[in-house]
Amino acid sequence: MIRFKNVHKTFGAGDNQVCAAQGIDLEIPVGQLCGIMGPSGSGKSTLLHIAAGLVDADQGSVSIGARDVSRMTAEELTLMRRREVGVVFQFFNLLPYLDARENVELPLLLDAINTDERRNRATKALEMVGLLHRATHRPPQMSGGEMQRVAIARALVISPRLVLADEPTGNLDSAAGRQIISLLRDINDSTGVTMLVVTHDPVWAANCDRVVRLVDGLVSEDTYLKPRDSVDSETNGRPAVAETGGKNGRKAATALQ
Amino acid sequence: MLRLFSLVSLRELRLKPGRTALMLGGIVVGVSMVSAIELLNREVVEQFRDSMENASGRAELQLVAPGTDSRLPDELAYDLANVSGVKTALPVIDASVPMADSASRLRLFATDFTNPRAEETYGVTIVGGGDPLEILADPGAALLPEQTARRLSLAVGDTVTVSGAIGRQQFRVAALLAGDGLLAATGEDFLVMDIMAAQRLLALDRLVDRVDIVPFEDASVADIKALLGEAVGHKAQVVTPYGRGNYFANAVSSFQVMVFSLSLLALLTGMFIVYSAVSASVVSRQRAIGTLRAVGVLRREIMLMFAAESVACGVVASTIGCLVGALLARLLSSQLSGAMGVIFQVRAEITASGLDAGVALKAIGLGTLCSLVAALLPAWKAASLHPLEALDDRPSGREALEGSQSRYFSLAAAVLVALVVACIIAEVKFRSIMLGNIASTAWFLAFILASVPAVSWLALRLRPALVHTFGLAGRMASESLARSSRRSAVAVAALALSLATTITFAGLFLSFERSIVGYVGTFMDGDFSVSSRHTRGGWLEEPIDSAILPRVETVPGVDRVETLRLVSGYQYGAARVGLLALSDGFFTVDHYGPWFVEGTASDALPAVRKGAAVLVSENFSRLHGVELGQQLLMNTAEGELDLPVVGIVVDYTSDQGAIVLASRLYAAQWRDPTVNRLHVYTSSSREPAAMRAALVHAVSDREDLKVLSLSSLLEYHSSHVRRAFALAGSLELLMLIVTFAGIVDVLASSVNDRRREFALLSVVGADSRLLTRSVMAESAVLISAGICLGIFGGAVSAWMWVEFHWTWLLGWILELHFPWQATARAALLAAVVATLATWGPARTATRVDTMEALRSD
Amino acid sequence: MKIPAGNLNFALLGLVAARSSGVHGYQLKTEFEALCEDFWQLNYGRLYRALDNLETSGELVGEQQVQIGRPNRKVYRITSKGEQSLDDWLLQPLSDEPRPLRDELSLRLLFLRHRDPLKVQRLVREQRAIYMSRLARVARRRRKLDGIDFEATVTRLVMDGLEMRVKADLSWLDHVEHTLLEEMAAATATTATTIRDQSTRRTNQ
Repeated sequence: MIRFKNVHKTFGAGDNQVCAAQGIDLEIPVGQLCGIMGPSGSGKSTLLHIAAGLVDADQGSVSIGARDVSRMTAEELTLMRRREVGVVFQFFNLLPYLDARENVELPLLLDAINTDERRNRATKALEMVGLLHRATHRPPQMSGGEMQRVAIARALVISPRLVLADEPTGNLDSAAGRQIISLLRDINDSTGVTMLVVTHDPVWAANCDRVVRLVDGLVSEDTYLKPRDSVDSETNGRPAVAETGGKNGRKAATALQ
Repeated sequence: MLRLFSLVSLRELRLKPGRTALMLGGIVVGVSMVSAIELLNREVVEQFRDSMENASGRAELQLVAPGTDSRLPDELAYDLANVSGVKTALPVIDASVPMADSASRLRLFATDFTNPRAEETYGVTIVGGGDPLEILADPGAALLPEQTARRLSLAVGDTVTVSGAIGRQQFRVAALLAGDGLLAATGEDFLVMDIMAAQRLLALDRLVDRVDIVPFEDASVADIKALLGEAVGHKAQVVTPYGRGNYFANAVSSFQVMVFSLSLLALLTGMFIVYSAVSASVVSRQRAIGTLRAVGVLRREIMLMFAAESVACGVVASTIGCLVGALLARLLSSQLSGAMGVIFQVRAEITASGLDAGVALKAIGLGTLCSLVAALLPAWKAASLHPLEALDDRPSGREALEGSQSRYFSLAAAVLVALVVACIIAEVKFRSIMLGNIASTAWFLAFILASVPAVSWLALRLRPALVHTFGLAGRMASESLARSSRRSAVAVAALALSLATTITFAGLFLSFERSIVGYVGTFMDGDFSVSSRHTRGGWLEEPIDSAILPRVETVPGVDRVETLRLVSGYQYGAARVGLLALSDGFFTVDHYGPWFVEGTASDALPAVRKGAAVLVSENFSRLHGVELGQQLLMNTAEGELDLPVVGIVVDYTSDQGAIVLASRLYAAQWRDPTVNRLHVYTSSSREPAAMRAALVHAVSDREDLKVLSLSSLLEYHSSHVRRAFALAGSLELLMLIVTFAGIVDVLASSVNDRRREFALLSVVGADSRLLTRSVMAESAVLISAGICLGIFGGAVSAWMWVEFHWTWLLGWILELHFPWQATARAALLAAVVATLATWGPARTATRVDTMEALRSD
Repeated sequence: MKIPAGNLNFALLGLVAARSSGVHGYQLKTEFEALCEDFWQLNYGRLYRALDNLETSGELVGEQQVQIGRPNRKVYRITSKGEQSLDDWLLQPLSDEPRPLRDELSLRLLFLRHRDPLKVQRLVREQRAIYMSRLARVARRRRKLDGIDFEATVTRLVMDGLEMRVKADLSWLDHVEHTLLEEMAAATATTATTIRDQSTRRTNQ
């Protein structure tokens, strides 16, 4: 679904230069819930932003599905965010004067989807995140967890091919954070939409199918957590980690042997 | 798109009612002024056009004297009656005369009723039947329309007393005119009499206002016009009644353009207010914009959204502005009448018409366009915000860019200044006030732009002083100034703009007043003046018969009496200039010498006294390109007059320039024995009060005269000038209110937008007092910068207006008097308002709940 | 792995004590699985035997519950004696069991210290993968628990504890990696950097 190929990105100039990506190669198959972890400054958020079309890579290519994101114009990228890629941020970024339903409907509004269909889809999205009963409430009346759920609903309402979440639990307490991760997990399980989640917390990351660790702008580890078969198999206390699926995975597996 | 607007924009606008009000307010003021002026202007044109057309009856052509105040010899009517195609040629006197006992006036209409066709040409039908010729054979008889008689509660047999050049005259109402006759149907208050009676009343020596021509039915009007033109040559103009009205419209157009220019300045200020309000709005909506972009709103959709907001605000504001403008027009109409009267010596009773669709549509279109243009730049900035930076609420890279962009502002300002200079040079060369307007606007834009580099420069220069005076707070202030020069510059510009417009208006006014009054005081001296009580609307009194001269001269204590006659609409080329006829006593070196700009007084004045030469005013020379030594060709009732110009002098009697000549020459050539004023010089032997009483007694049979002492005369002139500028004063006040509102918003919002910054600083240990002090220190710098820039900008602007624009627009050459008092007042007021505007928000913003403000960190 | 009998009894007592209205056998098995799935396997036989023992010792009391259309089932409640036993056990000081994995790691690191940065890295990564999968298991267990209508505060607390400990271990791992590699890099500056570059390039090809 997503393919990063030799992606480079540097911010700033001269003494203030920060190398957020120094040649990242990563492939995420359809339907995977992939977590991105790493120390701060390792470029996790940058990777996400590049995939979302919010930042241009200096070098390398990024494809979502068959489309090369790195070749798209700013306008095409914006439309991609409107129709195909849902983004969830750490600070929710809801419009405070719109109620939950209106916030969720926002992307649909832009494409002049007719009112009834908009309503339906927003209702479904709110149901999926379990907030239909709060549809007419505004962000100031909601808790952090509820706001993030509205943001997730907003990302889902466009029936995206991909959901990108940048530290979605970063601004929430542990209980609310757990709920959010659980929600993302459920949605991935039920709808099969590919998800890329940046997080600093391993407990949250453990809910993912796979965890990629970035260090200094490069992929340093790639661990698969979901077992191939549906039953947990355990041999000698060692996890069934060695998975195929991407060159990184293979390399990581061989490195472990 | 529309849904986006209704969902997001409307809520944002409602969320910040103060700022929305400001966005509306700027355009409201601008549009209201423009539409008020437009409405009044139209009335002015209509009024003049109407007054000239209504009384033409069946005449299809008219012969008029070249010039508004000039008259034709009546023999023309009889000479031209034989021109082929002319059925009737009637001499007409059509003038306004004041009624003796009230402030109202009657329209004196007189023609030769011995001509059998007079009745039918003007539709004169006597109520109850009767022959006008018979009735008006008695020179003391007159006719009134039915409606007029009813209105004045007069009946047949009553008397009407009016004031003419020979003084007050009573006329017996011999009969009434039927209301359905052509003349009476116009609804004007006519006083109809025979032509000789009118000539006597106005002391006209065989002169009339015009000759009306009625052609034969099958004759070609164009042919007749051509034949008549050939026959009269330069002595008269052949016009259609409609054309005459237009002529007047052209005459006042320069005034209209000036007033319109001033109202455009108001619109410019309004646009600036909108710009700053929208900019501030973009800053405070940064987060929301980032969200929208992240969710998939395109750049151009963001821009469209802001554009739509500004258009919506513009439409609403312009509509309100139209309504306010209509109200303003009603309030200002008397002031405009006063202004026009003073400047053009006309009786202008301008009553504002109601708002009509045409004016409303134009105003709404203009206001909406201005609102859109003003919001364009901030809208573009909003669209170019990077979504991530906007969401982070960090200006980040933008602030870093500010340093380099400051250079562009300096460059742009420099380019504009060059434009200003170029325009002024072109203005002088081509005598175009349009260029003057461009120069004036460009200058304002230049120093608005210059405020950006000015702030950066100041931040640097004043740093040591700030640290010295305010300590740590001063250092914080200095740093903050250096960091955000763009935002600060808007506050500085707003202050500067309001001050500059105030100084420009005040400077114009003061220069005008002082120049005129100075001139009047020195030039038109004398211990007393004797003149008519009645004026034509301006300061110039109605002409009186010079026959009273001997009576005044013989009063004991009187040394000598000089006379002054001013004809203010004499046609010279395409313009209406003034004719100033003065008696000998004026043309002495002592008296007139100081007013000479070119030429030698001692040589020139004797020639002028003799009637062998003329002088012209400074603005006459400038406006019509007449040099010293040139010959001047003038059309008079007695034929052409060709005299050399032997001097160029300072003179303020006419906006288009004046020709000065000897009264004897004038009286002979123009067949006009009347004068406007007698200047009485007394010996010191008698006490002023007693002297005045004696003079009053000497002319006691003339109730229509007034005797003024010199100081009263000066006050008389001053009060008229003040009346002329009352309109400007009102406009100035309005602008002040609006710009102050703008200043308040800019300063208050710039403080409020920094709440997060303050919270961060307070975490590091800065207490709220320190923060408040640093904010106040910063705003002290900005306010001072704004005031200095405003005074400088205003001074230059006032100079430009007095030195250049005024001359080409209105014709007068004034001395520049800088309005110190008004400036000091305005500067003080601006400083107080701006300080309060910062202090309030500063106190609340620095007290913000730290944790709440930092929540997003 | 075999469960020490004592621990099983106390676990069952704990689970029954949580429900004042009583628990029946099937419920108990489900809950037990949810709690201790991976390392303690339990079948119905063993469960009912344990329950019987507890009934006999008077720590539980069983009651037949009549159901319509289904075979009767036994509902167990804790007795005051059972509560006492439970309390005693809960308040006992824990046996100081060594955590085999962590200590083994420390041992290995001791020997590897002045050797091969590449091997250190590999070891750390391997360990990290293990911890992550442990967390993943807990995560899966939690989700299963969510699906069950059961008041499971204690269970959740146990899982919280597990997660927190693994999280702490992961932090320690990061710290170990960072410190050791820095030290080795400082010692043999050029060589270490070259090797590290080589290794990452290889991993990412």
